[in-house]
Amino acid sequence: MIEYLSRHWDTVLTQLGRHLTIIGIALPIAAVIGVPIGIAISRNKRAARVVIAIAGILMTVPSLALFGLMVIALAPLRAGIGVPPAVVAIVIYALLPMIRNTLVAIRAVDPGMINAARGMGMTNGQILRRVRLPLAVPIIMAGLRNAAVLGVSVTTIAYLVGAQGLGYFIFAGLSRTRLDMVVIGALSVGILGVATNYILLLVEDLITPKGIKIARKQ
Amino acid sequence: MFSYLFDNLGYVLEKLREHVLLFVVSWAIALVVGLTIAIISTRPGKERLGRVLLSVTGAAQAVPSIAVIAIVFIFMGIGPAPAVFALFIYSLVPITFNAASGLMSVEPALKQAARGMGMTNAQILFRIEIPVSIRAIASGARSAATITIGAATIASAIGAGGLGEIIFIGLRLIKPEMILAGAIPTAALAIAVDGVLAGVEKLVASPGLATEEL
Amino acid sequence: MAIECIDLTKHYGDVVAVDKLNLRFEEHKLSILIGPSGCGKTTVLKMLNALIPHTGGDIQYDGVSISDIDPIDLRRRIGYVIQEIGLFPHMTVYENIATVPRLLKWPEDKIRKRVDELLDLVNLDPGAFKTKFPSQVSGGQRQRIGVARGLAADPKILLMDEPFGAIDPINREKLQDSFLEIQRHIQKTIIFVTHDIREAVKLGEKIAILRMGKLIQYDDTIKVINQPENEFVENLLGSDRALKGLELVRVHEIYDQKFFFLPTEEQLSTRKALEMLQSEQRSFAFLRTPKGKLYGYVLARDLERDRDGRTVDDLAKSVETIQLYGTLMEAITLMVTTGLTSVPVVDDRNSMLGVIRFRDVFEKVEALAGTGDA
Repeated sequence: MIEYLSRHWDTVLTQLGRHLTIIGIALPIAAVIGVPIGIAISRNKRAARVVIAIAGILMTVPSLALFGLMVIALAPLRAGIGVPPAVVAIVIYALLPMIRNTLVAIRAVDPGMINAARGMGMTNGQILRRVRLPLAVPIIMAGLRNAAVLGVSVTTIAYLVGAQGLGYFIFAGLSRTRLDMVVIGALSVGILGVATNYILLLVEDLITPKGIKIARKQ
Repeated sequence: MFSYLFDNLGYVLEKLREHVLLFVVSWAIALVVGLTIAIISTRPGKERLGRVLLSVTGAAQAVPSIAVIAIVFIFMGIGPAPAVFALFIYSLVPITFNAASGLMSVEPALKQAARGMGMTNAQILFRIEIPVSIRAIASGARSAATITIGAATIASAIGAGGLGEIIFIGLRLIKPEMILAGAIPTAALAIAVDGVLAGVEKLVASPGLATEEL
Repeated sequence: MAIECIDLTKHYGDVVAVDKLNLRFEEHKLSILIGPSGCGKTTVLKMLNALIPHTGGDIQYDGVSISDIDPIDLRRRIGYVIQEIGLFPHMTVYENIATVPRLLKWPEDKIRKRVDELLDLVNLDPGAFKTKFPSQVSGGQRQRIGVARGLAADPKILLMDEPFGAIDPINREKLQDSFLEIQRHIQKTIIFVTHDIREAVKLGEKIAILRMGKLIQYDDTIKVINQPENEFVENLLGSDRALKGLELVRVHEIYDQKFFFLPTEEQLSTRKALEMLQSEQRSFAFLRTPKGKLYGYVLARDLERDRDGRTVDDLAKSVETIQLYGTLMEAITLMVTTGLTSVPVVDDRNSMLGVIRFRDVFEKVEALAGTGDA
């Protein structure tokens, strides 16, 4: 395995790059779709429950099945293979965490806080910057983190529909019975998942206001 | 479009049966083992073990199912048995994490009161700790079920059988009807199981416990 | 059941939490364990039901050493109420209270009767509360349910660890009053830990004062107040120690059944009334109806000022009263607020039974501080 690695490390890096690119494209799209939906339904409890339920059901669908369906659905658009279905799949799976976390983030700022802030003489801009965003952003970040970890997994499977990425090592390795490739693939994907979660967790921690962290401990 | 399904109903049902078997066996064993581990690591005096367990399972949840399946394949080869083992390991993580978290968040005052009233340790565990943390446990079990069905789909890649096999072949041969014959039952199975477990989750929690409003 | 601590000791490594405590708790009385933070009161309490093992000495129940008793069994036979109460959220109020009886395998209909009895005892309507969950009741109600739960298996002994500590002051007063009523009914041996000296004086029949693990004084409350063992106890009781004693003496002990009054049956003119007052050198008088009920009071000053030939009844003002079970503290408070040197003592139908005078209260305080006799 070490031998393979030393000879093909450039391939590994390339595939890693492709893997990250797919996630990198999907996450902003997920945010751009998910957050506004979350905001839109935040006033209406019934709408919120329905939307969350739908997003939840979508998330339940196994990725391979989802890919199968998408390949068929997107084929007429000539977007059935390669990067597009991978990105679409990640966005679909990311809907639940993004929408749900947006809702939680909005609810984290209750009217009482806003009233107090206004009473103290803050302008709307200041309220946004000093109250809403610091409270909301870490929560949404958590949703993104969730989505990113899902993205690692989904992208690996997306190899089967023509997307490049670390899935190559696993699936090509399986079909060629090259155990060294499979090991590289499995390890790299596993490490990538854990590392992505960990790094984004650090980021989340950095942007969480200290007071919230203390309150959480209690 | 569904001609493949009707022509090969027997085959599809056979794969469905395999899929369900893979899922149920690995998930059920993971429930028992996971809950046991969670209980052991939350006993008084085992705080360090509990914290370590939580960190490990917390991090491990980020490992994609395909990685677990592939690693197990390397050591155990192909077939349903290695697949069951891989799925067992895979679903063990969220079950243990959620159960341990839930048990750890039972208010100490409750356990203290129970002990002071004369409950034995076993009684405290079964009459107080588990019922109070049942929502966390059930939620862990439910999400584990969903992801295990998904992982079982992928496990077909190592010869485990199951509906994933149909999707794989369909993708390779570029036969949309075959893909659908595999994908739709898989999706339906996952949604149905999730729905049932959601119902169980609601049933099992006492109405006196705080509910999460979304 | 007699409880006795014999040279009871608890070490945590080098730290001595409880130091050779010798204490025999008086049966059927509420004994307070009080002292500053870290004095060991909670440790002693928890050793009584074997939640914490003792490192030296012994605790004996009716002469049997605690080491010879099964701890689980002991705990089921002793009631235990903690500050956070710890009502089980997933169980209804009924199931919470039924916990120990069920552990003891009581038949269910016996349990049902007992739960109703207990809810009545703590002033909660059984019908309304049995099926509710802890999250659906208020904090004060939760404390009451906690007390009911502690009494469920009818233990001879009740251990309470700051049970009213987490409640706001207003509700705490009410709970303490209810609890006094309950204790009057049940007469159990209660060992009650608190850090609040006012609560200790109000509820305690006996007080045990601890400091740094040692027993400083254990005696009847009134004796502790009037004969504090040392300066530490004095400080604990506070500089208003003597006034605290007033909370323990009741009106019926020193009121005067003979008192001056003006009758209301004749239409007494202000002039005549003034004459009667002046002949007795009084500045005010209570008014009493022929049936013996209190009507109000008049001030001599107001009688003097009257130029319109009114009657005494017209000028009468209403007055606050006190009943036989009121405390001297309440009596003094009334005197201060009304500005009168006596307060009329009435029964619950407002019949005048007598008066309580400032002079008498003052003499009583002096007597308490001097000889310590009640």
